[in-house]
Amino acid sequence: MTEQEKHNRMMDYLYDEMSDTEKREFEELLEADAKLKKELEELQATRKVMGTVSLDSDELKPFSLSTDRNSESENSSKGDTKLYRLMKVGMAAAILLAGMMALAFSGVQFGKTSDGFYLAIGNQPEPVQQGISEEDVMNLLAQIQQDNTLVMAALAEQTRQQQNEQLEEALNLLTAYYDQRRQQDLLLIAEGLTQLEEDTYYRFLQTDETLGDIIYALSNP
Amino acid sequence: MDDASLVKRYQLGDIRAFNELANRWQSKIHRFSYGFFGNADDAGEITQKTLIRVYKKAGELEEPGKFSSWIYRIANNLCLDELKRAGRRKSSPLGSWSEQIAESENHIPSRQLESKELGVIIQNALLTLSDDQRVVIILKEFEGMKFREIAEILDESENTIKSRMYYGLRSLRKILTEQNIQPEYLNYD
Repeated sequence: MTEQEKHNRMMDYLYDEMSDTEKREFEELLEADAKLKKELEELQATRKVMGTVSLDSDELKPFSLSTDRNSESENSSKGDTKLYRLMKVGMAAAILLAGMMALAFSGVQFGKTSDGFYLAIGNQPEPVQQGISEEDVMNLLAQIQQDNTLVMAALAEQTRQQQNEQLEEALNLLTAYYDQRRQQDLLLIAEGLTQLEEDTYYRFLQTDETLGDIIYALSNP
Repeated sequence: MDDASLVKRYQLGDIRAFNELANRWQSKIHRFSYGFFGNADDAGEITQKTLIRVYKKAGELEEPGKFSSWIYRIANNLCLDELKRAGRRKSSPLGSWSEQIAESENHIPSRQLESKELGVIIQNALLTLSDDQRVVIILKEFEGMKFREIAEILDESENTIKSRMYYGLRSLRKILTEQNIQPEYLNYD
């Protein structure tokens, strides 16, 4: 048996594509050929590694066609999205080129002046508006600055007032809180003193009673 | 209903039969082409082109019983065309990738490899194989086809397919060993 034949048999054995008789014959061959056996074990181990993974990807996009046979050609062209996209780009480019050529041959002018963009047939249009003078611009800027200053001052004053109001409100709240706490403390102290007074009074009574009992016992032996 | 019956119905004008075939086969073709390129975008494009070609040509298929071989042959030819078109930029020369990984990750111990990482290593290892060996390994190992079926798809003899399988597995074994994966996964237990 040639080496090539051994390899082919090994593949059949490895993937279980042998009859029982062929399998037994090959196993006898394996017992007699240690090198072949080792190679088979190595390839079995390689298969084992490959068996732990799959080639599946999550990015499969569903593919289906309309069941309307009449729209066959339309569906076919839609299916070939890449070609469809290329055709659209090509058509857009052709339209743009045709438009540019038409503009070039018809004398249509498109450009920009200090006053803005223009589109004209024939020569470039003369400016119809001179715009505002430098003095006007300066006056306008001064007016804007003045307005901004007033607005900022008003804003600052408003913010300051709001802060004062918030501070005053916070102080009032704090004062009220401490006053309430003081009242509660005084009340607790008064209650404590009353309780102490009552306790002392009862202790005196108990002491008097005990002393009375002792005197009575001593005087009546 | 089997594939052959669906093909016959489609040949009679039933578009729903084609949709059923597309539903059945798109994931298989995607997996096949994903194994070929290791790239979901390319796999998606090949899947789409394959199904479009099936849509256009299935009406002329003379042996509907051989639909499975036929569609894989279309997908395989499209993959090879794409490789030619892309100037073989999509496949890696043997060794370059494994050296790169070995240097960057300093031989990761096998026990630290997660299944996903192992999948990436195997995917990249597949890309280093020749096209002939890669397609055989994908069809055999991941699609579970018989050698006879693969031979029919690729229009080669069974012995040629087995030989490609043998040398492809040996190359994979070599790469996985270089990646130091064998202690955990390649033991012979």
